[in-house]
Amino acid sequence: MRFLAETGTEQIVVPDTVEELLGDADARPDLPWIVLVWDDPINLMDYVTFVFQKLFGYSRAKARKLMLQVHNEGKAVVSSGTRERCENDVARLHAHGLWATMQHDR
Amino acid sequence: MSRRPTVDRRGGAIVLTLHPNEVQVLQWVFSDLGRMLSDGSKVDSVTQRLFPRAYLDPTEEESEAQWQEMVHGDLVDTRMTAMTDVVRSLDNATPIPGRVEASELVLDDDQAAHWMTVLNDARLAVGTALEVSPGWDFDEIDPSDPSYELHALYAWMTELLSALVTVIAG
Repeated sequence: MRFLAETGTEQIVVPDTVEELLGDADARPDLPWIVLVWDDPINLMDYVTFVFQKLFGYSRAKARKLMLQVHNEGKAVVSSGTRERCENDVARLHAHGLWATMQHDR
Repeated sequence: MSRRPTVDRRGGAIVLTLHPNEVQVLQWVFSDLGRMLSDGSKVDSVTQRLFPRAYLDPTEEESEAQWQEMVHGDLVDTRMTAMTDVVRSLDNATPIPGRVEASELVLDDDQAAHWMTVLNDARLAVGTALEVSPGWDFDEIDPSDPSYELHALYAWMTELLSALVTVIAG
């Protein structure tokens, strides 16, 4: 980033690149998709917790909190990101027998 | 199938101790599941549970079809690979010297991970076929129920998976 001009007490900051212009979006990337895991009567609580830890690298505490949200509220958002990332996460969850779907983050 | 299954950590390995009858029952269950997975022609509540949709939204039908096209074969292959590994470890179950009717399976981390997902798939298949509810309790199943043995199998696989996850998760 460079300073293009100083006018009086105001500094005008001009980005070098489009990426820099979209710097905020870079730090908080466009997140139009979310992955939901739904409650089901078969999967064990400890198993679901372990799968969240294994697939997403979540701490046991965070994974357990998400599992309890699935259990108590019927569903929980377990990841978010681009369509491709979410499609991949859904496939990995299905490979572990969890009932996962994805949708636009509205 | 009334005994509690035992799963222990021994050094770097995870050890399952099973009765030879339990080894045989699991071989039947897993080979059934393997046949169903490799067949792929049947669409029922079990296959829908093992291979759910990614997109719930009916307006995303095209994305759903593309996603299925992209991942379904891989999901089948992943399950079959794990299944083959698990069945091989059952074939290699070794009698424990000095203990009557007990065999042990010594698993490395990859094998244990395969056991976990295959057992869970088997529970999903049996549990879906039995239409188990959230409040399912084996003690409440009537022994005269024609599905009683299947409920017993489901209960036992649940105990085995629970013990396995406890040991794997440390």
